[in-house]
Amino acid sequence: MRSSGIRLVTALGLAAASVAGAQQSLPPAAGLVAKYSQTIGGAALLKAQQVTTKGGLNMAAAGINATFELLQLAPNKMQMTTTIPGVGAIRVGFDGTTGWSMDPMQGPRLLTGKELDEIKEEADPRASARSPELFTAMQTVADTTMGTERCYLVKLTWKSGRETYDCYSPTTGLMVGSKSVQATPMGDIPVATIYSDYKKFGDFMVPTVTTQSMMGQQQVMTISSVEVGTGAGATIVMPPEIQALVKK
Amino acid sequence: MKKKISKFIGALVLGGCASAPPSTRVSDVPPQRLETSVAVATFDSVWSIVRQTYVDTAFVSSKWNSVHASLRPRAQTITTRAGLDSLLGDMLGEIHDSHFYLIPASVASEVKSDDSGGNGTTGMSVRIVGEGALVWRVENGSPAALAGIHPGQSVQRVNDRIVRESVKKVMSLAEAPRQRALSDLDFKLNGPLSPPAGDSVHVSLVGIDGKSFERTLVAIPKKGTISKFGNLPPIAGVVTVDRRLVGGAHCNAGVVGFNIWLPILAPELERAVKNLADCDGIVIDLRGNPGGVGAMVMGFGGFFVPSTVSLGTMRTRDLTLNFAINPRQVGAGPYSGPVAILVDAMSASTSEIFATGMQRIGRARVFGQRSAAAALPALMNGLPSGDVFVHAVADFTDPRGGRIEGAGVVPDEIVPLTEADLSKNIDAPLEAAVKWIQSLRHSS
Repeated sequence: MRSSGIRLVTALGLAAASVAGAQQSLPPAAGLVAKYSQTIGGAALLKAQQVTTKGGLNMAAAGINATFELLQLAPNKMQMTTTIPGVGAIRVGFDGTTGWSMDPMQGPRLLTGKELDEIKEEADPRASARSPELFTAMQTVADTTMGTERCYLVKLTWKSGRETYDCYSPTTGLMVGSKSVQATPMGDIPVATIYSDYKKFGDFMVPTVTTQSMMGQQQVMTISSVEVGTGAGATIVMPPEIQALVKK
Repeated sequence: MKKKISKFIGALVLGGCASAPPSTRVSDVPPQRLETSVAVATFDSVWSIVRQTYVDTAFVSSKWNSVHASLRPRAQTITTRAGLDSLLGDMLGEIHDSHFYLIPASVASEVKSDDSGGNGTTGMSVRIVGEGALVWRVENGSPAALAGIHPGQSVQRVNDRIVRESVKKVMSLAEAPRQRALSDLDFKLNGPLSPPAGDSVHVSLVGIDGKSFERTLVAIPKKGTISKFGNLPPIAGVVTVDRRLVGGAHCNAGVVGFNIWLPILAPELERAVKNLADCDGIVIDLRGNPGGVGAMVMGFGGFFVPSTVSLGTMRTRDLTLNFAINPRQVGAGPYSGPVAILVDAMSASTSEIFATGMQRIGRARVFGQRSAAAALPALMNGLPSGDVFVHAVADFTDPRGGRIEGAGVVPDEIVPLTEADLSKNIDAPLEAAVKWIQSLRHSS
């Protein structure tokens, strides 16, 4: 289990090579991505001015149960607070310019480099809708299985240059899994994610159960509510400790 | 956005792994006769565990199969315990790491069953000194203090454990596992002294005057911030801060001590460092601190370091991760005065990572006794023979590439504990650290 994440990611290169001769049988990435966006209601997602998502996060092996609240404001702002008993609040945010992280272990940090690229791109609602303009390239690389579901693996190259992989169900068009390498202050960490239990909130759908595997551990995030607002009066609040770093 | 969660959970997991305090173990006399089938099964188990978890996969893929092939025929002829020990010694000797060893079956059960846990305290703690153990600290007003127990007294028994016999067994171990075993015995002696509140512990001592006496101490609730983190039992975290003043108001040294690396203590630690920012130097007392969440060293270290620097590298089979310091602001920047760190045989895991890292990057001078040498995430697996196999599942190296596991933190100034100092309430390692800070002040 410990090695599953990195092995999957490592295996991608091999998978891409082995299917090169069979790529004619793979559906075009653009079509898969477009179908996904249409299926989840991507257009409605892009119109939302304010989305507040709440839920819980469980790491059964470690006995950790956390709660989280994510606020996204158009066009590209977000803040997320995860509260873990015995640890405290873990905060990340992006105000359109500055990305930050603050947790009891490492203290306040301004995000830079790949970490900043990542939060900048993902704070944009077009990322969730998989709008094509965010990517410089997309390619279907394999007909595979993630979790228990067959899916087409699509390699996405973001404008920042980072690469991630989505896996789309040939039957529903939904994203059933993804793979990426996350930048952290400690180094890059491969992550494999399985999405399930898609539910409709207003005019768009989100997977309410997300299972991530990394470093041999598994964590399950369950969304309990998604509220769409007008954005009026809502703001992203940069913690004072982060403000101090910005002024420095 | 979901990805943002996992980054930090990853840090927690890593810390959790790195934080496990060493288990207790001492040597014992093993039974001599052994069924051959048990020997073979034990041999196979040890071999398989290494194959599945040892971080040096190149070694595993290139040599481990041949080790199995060459040694397994011997396993099929073994009929004695000594024969198995010899065989496993030969097999594990192929791994050039110091932290692969067996805990004999006769003491393995102690490892599994005798973690005292709880959040009570008798107010006394002990340390192995020479061939025995001495009372190290006694909290004012505690059950131990009220019972007339003082630092420097010789500890003969803790419940059923005869201290000298246990120390003697540890001293009989080979050099490589001895340091950890000594540390483990320290934990073993101190564990029962912190039973759940209301429980009692029986101790036998010899006073400074040479007279023996016994006491039954009933634990009272431990002071501190109670934290429940994951599957760990509730833990009382304690941060102590002391400003050593001279001339009325001048702080010649600030001392911050804490008993465990728990995130819940992070705000207190930040306040402590800021409170001591005007001192000539800061002493970080990690004696008795068995570790905790490893990622905390990156934040706490940031109070003393102006730029990002690694305190060491952890390497699992899949990942190489740096413990990179995140510079923090104590005032206009991080604290820039001299930093001393105190360690002893009960400083383990995260404490060792921090102390060695700060020492290696030249930011701190370490005082005290050699630490527990238990800085790697290690697992224990039971074997068919009843022994327990202790094996690291990751590697950790300090900023210079040196290992802490098996070696411990070697203080820049080793300051031994003595009965004379303890009986006079002299904290010799702390005094040495303060003296060093003052010497820097005067020289500058």
